Parts: sequence; C-alpha cells; structure tokens
Amino acid sequence: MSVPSLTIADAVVASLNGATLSQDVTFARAYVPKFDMSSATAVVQGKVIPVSDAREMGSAAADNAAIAVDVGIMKKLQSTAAAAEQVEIDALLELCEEVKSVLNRQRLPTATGFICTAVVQEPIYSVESIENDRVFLAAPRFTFLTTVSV
Amino acid sequence: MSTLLERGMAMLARVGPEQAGGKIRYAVGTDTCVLSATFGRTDEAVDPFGQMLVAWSGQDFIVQAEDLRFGLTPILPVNGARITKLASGEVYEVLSIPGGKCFKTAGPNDEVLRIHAKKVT
Repeated sequence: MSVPSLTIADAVVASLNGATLSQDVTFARAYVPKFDMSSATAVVQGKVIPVSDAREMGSAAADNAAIAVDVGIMKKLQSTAAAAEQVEIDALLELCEEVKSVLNRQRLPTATGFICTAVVQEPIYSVESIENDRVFLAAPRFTFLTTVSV
Repeated sequence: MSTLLERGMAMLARVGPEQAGGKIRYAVGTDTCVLSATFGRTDEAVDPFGQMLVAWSGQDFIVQAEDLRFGLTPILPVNGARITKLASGEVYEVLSIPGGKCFKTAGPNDEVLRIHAKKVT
C-alpha cells in the first residue's frame, strides 16, 4: 500500500529538482527538516516535508484527500550592507515564486492523480531568522487534492 | 595605583587567551584586525519556524576592548562581522543575542568585550 503523502512529497521533490530555477538549489524530502547554519552557507538549501493528510468520504469506493506539503527554502545571508541584503532577500522571494509556479494548479508528472489547489506562504518569511541568525527561511505550504481507495 | 580588582582583570586578560583561547581575526568587509581572545561559552540550539528547524552553534569571544581596532581607530563589534579562529580556520559571524546587542562589556571600566557569534563555516 502506498502512502499518498509520501507519493506527493517525492513528486514535489522530482518536479522542483527538474525545474529551471534562478538559484542553484537541490530539494530533498525530510522527516526532520533541519537546516544547518554552519554548512554550505552560500548555498540555498531546500527541504520537502509532508505536513497533513485530511480525508473525507467521497464515494462508496474512495475518500477525497487533501494532503499538505511544506517546501522549506533556507539560505544564510551573505551580504552585510542593508541594501545588498535586501537585494539578496528579494532574489530568494523570487525563488519562492518560481517554486509556486512549478507546483500551483499543476498535476505533477510522477503523481498525476494529485492536483495542487492551494498555496499558503504565511508568514512570507521568518523575521526572527533574519533578525537573530541572518538566515532567510520560508516555507510555503502546498495543498494537493486526490482520491484514495478504501 | 590600580586596585586589586583591576590587577586581577589585567591578569585574567593576559592569561585567558593563552590558556583558553587563541588568536582571532575580526573582519568587517575588507577591514581586519588580529587579536587575542578567550573562547567563552559555547551554545548549540535549534530554532523552530513552523515545521522547519535551524540548527546553530554559537560561541562567545572575550577580548580586550583596546585590542579591537582598525588601524588606530578603536571599534565596537557589529552584527555581520566575521571572526576567524586562526588556529582552526573556523569562521563565526557576529550576531545579536535575541532582544539584545551582539556584545556585552565587562570590567570596572568596560575594558573587556564579550562578543556573541555563531559558527558559519
């Protein structure tokens, strides 16, 4: 029996790693999405984790399922001047938009039974991470709808 | 004449880097200075953001305020400055303690600085 949340998380990883993005980043699925501030500091780190799986009766043979996946994007900010830091953060928010355009409203090639119907990025980024660690961290959440046989 | 406390502070400042520290390079952009530091408390923690975690390793660097200077100009630590341990090559970034500044002063005349930093490489 397959696990729908893992199926879609793996499909998200495959789609994002196969997409042309403005920054060099490799996404990986994780159960404990931990970003290490002291490794690969100049590199964008990407994590994909399944977050929730909500099901309700859809038909006699299947449930309708809404499965949420978080896509974590983290980078240690390199610039020290305020203006340069703003440019660096702008570019990372642009990367978040590119990730959304890859996933939102899409059926992913390796999981065509799922469709992304909602995206929430709230907060848009972690103010605390920038303030305390000079780390950019955002985690847009994507909700995919599918049916699961019962 | 210096007080007993001042003489004790001076002795600690002299001995500390030899016994529990080493040479560091403090850098802001292209401005750098090499000075002795006692390596203070180390921290390791994980900060949560939603489902995500950011792990960091921190360390305090205790230096003589008069040693921290670019050329002849005394300076104070600033966020974003880089500290390199010359012996190991480890690099730290000066960062504020949440809700506070990136350094504290100590001693009767604020002659000692405790600089808070987190490891970045």
